Amino acid sequence: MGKPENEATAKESGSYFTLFLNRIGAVFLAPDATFSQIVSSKIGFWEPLALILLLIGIEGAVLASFAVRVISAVTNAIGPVTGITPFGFLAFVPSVLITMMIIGFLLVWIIVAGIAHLIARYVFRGRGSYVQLLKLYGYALVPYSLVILGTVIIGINWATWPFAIFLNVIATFWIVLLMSVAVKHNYDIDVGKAFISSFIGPMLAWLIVIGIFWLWLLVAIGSFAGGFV
Amino acid sequence: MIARATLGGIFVAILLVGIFYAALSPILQPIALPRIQMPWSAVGTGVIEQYSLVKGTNVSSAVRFVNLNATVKFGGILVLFSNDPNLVLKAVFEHGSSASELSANSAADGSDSLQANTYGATGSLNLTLGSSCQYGGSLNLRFGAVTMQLDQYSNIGKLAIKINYVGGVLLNVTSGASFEHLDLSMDVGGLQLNVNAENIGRSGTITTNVNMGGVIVNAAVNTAHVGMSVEADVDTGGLTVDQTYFEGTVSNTHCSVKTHDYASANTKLDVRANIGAGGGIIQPSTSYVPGFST
Repeated sequence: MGKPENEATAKESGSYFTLFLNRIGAVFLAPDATFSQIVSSKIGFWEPLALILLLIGIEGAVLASFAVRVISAVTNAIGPVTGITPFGFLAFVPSVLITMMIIGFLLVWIIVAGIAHLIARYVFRGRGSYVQLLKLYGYALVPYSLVILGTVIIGINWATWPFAIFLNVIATFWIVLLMSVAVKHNYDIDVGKAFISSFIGPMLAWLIVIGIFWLWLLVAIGSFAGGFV
Repeated sequence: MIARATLGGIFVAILLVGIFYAALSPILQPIALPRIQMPWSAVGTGVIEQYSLVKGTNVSSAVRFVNLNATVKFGGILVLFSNDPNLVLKAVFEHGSSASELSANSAADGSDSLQANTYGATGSLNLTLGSSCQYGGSLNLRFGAVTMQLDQYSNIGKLAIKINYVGGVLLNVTSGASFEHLDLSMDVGGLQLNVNAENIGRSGTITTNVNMGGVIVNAAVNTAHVGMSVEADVDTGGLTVDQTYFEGTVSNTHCSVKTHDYASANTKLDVRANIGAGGGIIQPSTSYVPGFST
């Protein structure tokens, strides 16, 4: 990866948009060098934040368009039964969907980066800041554009779902890979430790939360069922 | 560098495709589901029956009060008023060929009152009422929808609209409408009251009772002529009141609001809404258009 690294670390010139396009492309092609450059060049927090909002917002908008189509189809289909019953109140569904997706993902972003930070910093004794990791995680989400593409393709034709799933799988692996690279560069630790910090740690935390939830559910059901469960 | 810029460009292109798709797909690519056909609305197999009561023809010209009792078990009832002073009642009943026929009769009491009954088990009943009689009585439905258009030709004393189980009621009140009291009730469903009036014939009250569902009141009145008040209670659920149009006390489960200049208005329209489980929305409709009436 010598040549791309040299390219990435070379002083780039051009308009902001050109630099942005190069940076996004470099995240795909040379994440090692790009993340090193982002760490060293003190790129602002707003660009990765805007990237996340754009990616999740657009995916939310595509899903909301599905919701609009389904709601319109259902209200039209049951029109002969419901007559003039107004369904205008269902218009809130798309906006709520987009808002919930954005808020939910911002929370996931903060929590997952927080877990990775705690493990990399305090378990593996790495050196790096949490805010810097948030920035890198913003760029690590760039392959999420494949998820948007998959959703659009499914929307155009349901029969393309295998290809859409293929794109989703690629995007997932790619994002996990980029998150590991981000942790590696931000904390200057080995890639194995970075993978544990960025993926295994958050997955374990997720499993613990889910386990506690199921335990609570069992106890709650058991109390209603008189202790038989 | 070219490869990076190209990939970056593809990334931006995907985002743009997503934006355009989200914006255009509901218009260009609507999902089509088969429309549910009810027995009474089956195209091509429907039967249309008519029943009319006309002054000087089959009803005494002295009739001024009509007690109307219209019942449909499954389907819909549409009530309109015409400007025909001789018309007492015109009932058009559409139903499937396998459904039972309309049963209608009338009985005069020898003075100025008439009792008119219509009954259809399953179908769509369109009632057209005249402009020279005052109507009262009840419209009854078990499952379905009632739509009533009150305009300058309407004249109602006390009328009850009752949906026993599930359905919807749409009541449009426009300029010149005249009624004393309307009682709207249903077990489960939605009720929409649209008031778009520069003036109304006389002060009237509307009472609504919905056990489970929602009530929407859309108001657009000339507040100098028509004072409108809404008092609503929700047992479980919530109320949304637009307080730019209405003033008064509002909480999540109760409201008592009036339009501005309520006290000085010539005529008053008082709405009382009781909702068991569900919600209520009290809001201005599209901006008031002077002279609008149908």
